[in-house]
Amino acid sequence: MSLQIQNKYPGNWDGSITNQIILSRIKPLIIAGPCMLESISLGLEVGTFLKNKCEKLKLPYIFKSSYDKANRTSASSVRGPGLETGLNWLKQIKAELNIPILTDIHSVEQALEAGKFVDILQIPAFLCKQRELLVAAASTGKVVQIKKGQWTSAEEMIEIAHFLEKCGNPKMILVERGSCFGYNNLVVDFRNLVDMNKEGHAVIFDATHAVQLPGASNGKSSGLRYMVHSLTRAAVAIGVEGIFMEVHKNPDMALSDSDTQLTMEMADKILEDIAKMIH
Amino acid sequence: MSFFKSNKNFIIEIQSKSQNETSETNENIFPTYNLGEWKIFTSDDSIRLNVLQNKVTILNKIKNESKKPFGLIVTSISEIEIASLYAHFLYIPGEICRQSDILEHSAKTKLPLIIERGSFLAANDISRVIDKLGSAEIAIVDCGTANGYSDSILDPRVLFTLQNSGKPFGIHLSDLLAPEGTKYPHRPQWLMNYEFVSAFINTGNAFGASFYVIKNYGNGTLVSNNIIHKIPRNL
Repeated sequence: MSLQIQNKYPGNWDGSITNQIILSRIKPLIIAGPCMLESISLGLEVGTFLKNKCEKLKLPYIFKSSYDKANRTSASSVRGPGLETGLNWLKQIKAELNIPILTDIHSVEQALEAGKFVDILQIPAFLCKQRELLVAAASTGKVVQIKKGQWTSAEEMIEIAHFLEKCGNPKMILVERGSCFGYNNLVVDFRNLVDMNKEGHAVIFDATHAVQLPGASNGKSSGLRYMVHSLTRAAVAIGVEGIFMEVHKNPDMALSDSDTQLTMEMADKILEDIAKMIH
Repeated sequence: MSFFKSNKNFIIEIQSKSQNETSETNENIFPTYNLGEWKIFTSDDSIRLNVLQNKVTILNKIKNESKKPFGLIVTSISEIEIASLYAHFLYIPGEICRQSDILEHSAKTKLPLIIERGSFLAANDISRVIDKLGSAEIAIVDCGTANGYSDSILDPRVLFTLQNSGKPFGIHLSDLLAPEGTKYPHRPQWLMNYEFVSAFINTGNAFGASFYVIKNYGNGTLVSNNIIHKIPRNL
């Protein structure tokens, strides 16, 4: 197993996300939570479970959830609680559980509003090259996590990273979430974990979106949940700053990504395994 | 405007700057402009588009001087609002073809919409995009399918699906010739062969493509004069 020690990132960023959490390949960050913030109770329950588990395993943890699924396959699919309610719920989760928060943004307005209190702003894969969105996210001074477009090469992601640096914000994380492989299918090219790190940028592996089968289930995405554990092991073995995964109390009833979100039991086993691999 | 329903083929020519640079005066070549610097360009020869500066003045000038319909590329709700005051049609890039807010706001303008199929989008999922656009008058552009890195493949199965979508469709020749990331070594140089353009057009013609899209800047630059004669029901 090759774990590279790396605490300095391009632009002389030290990898700090909060005073307590500094990115490191020795102790990968866990970013996890429900795909969609369906209710405050779901967020609190899943967040509490993941926080306690990560504390026990001495893994740094950040809660994630989305308030607006702005690019659902079908027009009739539920989008989430929306900006105002969603951000209020995220604030409540941050305060009650005393944990950092990540959420995704789709417009300049959302970037500026969410940037007031979240710890990481995430740029969705489809929007990874949208200039205005990147400029707005960078302007908040928060850590910006950019998902690699499913059609985008690692080299292009490095250029996006250069752009963000030029915007004056070197605090960024690049994410692998699978590449288009024919229709309704993604594969993970693990070369991208190495290539996106060529210049030293922090890289995170999105373990649950990487197993997605986009649009493969009659108007919604399907996926191969059983693959998440194996792919996560591979990413940790190669070396990453963190693992991103979506976890739900009852994935089969989830309002989005029901085929790929992990049960809390599955997440428990994967987190145990990550801890074993790095210790 | 009814050019989607015309019996004649047409060309959408995406301009590099805020003036019509085409030398072709044919009435069925429609200039289209980037309203802003909307995307991180990753090509060496990327250009800085200048529409953002003095936006209103420039858009007024384009509108006043244009002797034929023109389009504006829109990527945000605020751009849609501005563009709808000037353009004859809106052009939505493939990357944002699933963004519900963009699609709904575009449809509300009642302008004709040209929307690219994202290179990541399975052909049968274009029906979901059409659903989001409701009753808007739309045409779809196929820019190819990304099944690898910095490559774009024209798949006859996609064209067949678009043909049966009930919507007019076109083919983006410049994107097929030189998709983003063309400069990287993982893309074989033999793919950058301008003679492939004839093959793209012939394939499109066979499936009844209504129009072709070209860029007059950057990698994949094409000149309308060089392709007009290949297009039937011509222009």
